[in-house]
Amino acid sequence: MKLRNPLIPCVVVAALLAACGGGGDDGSVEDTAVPAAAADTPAAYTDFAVAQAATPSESAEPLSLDNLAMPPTSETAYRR
Amino acid sequence: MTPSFLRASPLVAAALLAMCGAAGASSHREAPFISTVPKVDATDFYMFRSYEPGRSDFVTLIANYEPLQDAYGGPNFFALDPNALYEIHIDNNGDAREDLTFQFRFKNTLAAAGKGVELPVGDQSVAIPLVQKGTVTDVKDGNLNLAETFSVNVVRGDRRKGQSSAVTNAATGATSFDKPVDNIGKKTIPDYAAYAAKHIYGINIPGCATPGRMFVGQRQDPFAVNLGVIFDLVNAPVSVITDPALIGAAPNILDDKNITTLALEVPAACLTAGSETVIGGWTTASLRQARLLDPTPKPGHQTTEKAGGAWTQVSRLGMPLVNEVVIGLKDKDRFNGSKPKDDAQFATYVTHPTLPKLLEIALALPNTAPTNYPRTDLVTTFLTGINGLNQPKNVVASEMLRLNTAIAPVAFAQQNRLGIVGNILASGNDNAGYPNGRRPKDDVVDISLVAVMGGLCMANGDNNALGFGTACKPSAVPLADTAFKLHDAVDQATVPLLTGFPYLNTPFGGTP
Repeated sequence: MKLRNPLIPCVVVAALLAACGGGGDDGSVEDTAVPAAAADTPAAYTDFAVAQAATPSESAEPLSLDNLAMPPTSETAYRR
Repeated sequence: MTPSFLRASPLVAAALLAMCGAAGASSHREAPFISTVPKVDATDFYMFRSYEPGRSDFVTLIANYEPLQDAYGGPNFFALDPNALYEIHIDNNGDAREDLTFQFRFKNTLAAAGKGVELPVGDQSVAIPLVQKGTVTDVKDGNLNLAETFSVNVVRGDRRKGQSSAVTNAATGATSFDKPVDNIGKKTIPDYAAYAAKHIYGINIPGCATPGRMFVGQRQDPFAVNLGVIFDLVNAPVSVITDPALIGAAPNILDDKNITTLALEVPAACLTAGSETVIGGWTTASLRQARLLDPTPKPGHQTTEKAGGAWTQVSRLGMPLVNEVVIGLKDKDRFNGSKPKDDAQFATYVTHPTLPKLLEIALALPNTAPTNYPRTDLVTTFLTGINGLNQPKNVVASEMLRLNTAIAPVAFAQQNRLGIVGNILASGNDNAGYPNGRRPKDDVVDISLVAVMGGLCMANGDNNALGFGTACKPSAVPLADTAFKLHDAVDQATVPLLTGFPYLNTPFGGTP
């Protein structure tokens, strides 16, 4: 696996977060599940985890993993 | 108070007179996932009216974590996880939802503002590899390289959405508490008991007029069990485990192990609501849902993991042994992530338990399992509490430890090791034992063996004296009176304990 354009993770995270909806107290729909797109590639999976890890919450319920039948993995990718 | 459960049952005493003694670790490494994260593995949960003299108006809550600690397990020993949330929940209206939650969070800080203790080596100042650089005797001891501190919040209502307030030190008003370092050994900590005692705090609990007490730290594992033998298909002669004279014939395999305890003593009036005197309790631990590993950890302490997102429950423990020997292997992780209000999904494991059938196989004793299905005796004991003893008026069936706070505590010397069942046998006055709450002395392994093999139905008699159901009667118990004699050959009552809070004994040290 070749190293990727550094802008790609930002785009992926933005897209995934948009797919999740968001908000809560403002009346918008809260996230309830990890989007299927997060399982598209190992990079997307890691990027979603990065976005989640960056936003700890004391009040949120965990997201369902029902969309993640088989988390993507890589035997060749280097750390980022 | 004499529970109506007991007043109504002269037959019970007669039936139990046959019982001269009774027999997993409670919840040590009981599920596949939790065995991979021992720092958040709940091992035992206790809840009882305090029996220390002068403290009978209080309830003691003890949640033990991190099983099978060997005292020599340095140099890092057994600090709790700063990326975890440890909780003790109380349901005080029987609806299977928490009304009060005590939340514990931990923080590990290296000395010297995060640099750690350094020693001059030649012309360099170099960080040391140990958690101490000399003798440790006091709170915030200057010879500690690592300070473990914690905070506690009490949440009223839903554990995530409810009103949260900080528990404070009654003497100083501080919201941060120091946790004693583990018992490294005699040379480092010459008097560990005295050192640990300095970490027992008087606490102010928001919404509670009377101060409580708190201790968090390492203790001897108070659970006694014939662990290896039980999990090796009960590798013991039937003649031994059914002989009441041999209740202490085997060594307690855990008697050189430590655990880490979260102990609270709270005024009973602060835990109950309205006229309901029965409370339900359980402990959980949660991890952040998203966990990333840093391939180049930064200098500091435990910096490899970056955790974020919502708290995700990975450990749950109320009644002892439930996830250990009741829930099927495929559902153990699911149980650890579940809430009591959703326990209908696990009902079959209680109404149609596999443990008696496994004992038939293991002991080569076919057709000895009780035949009253659904097992209403176990449903009552584990999911609703016993009517007239520890069943809330508006109970919703769910698994948790239930305590009737109106029943007076009993001094340690007078406590019956077999709890309520043993008390009936003895025609005694100890109504404060398991399954009415749980005290450290209660031999829950022996009690549970008796129960699953039909002891409760023997006691229920032919007239449903205890309310376990009309099908729960002696003819449904192939073992008959032998059900009362089952035990694991390890006597819980011989485990050394303290006479008062936090009750659990001083931990084993890395050196004697």
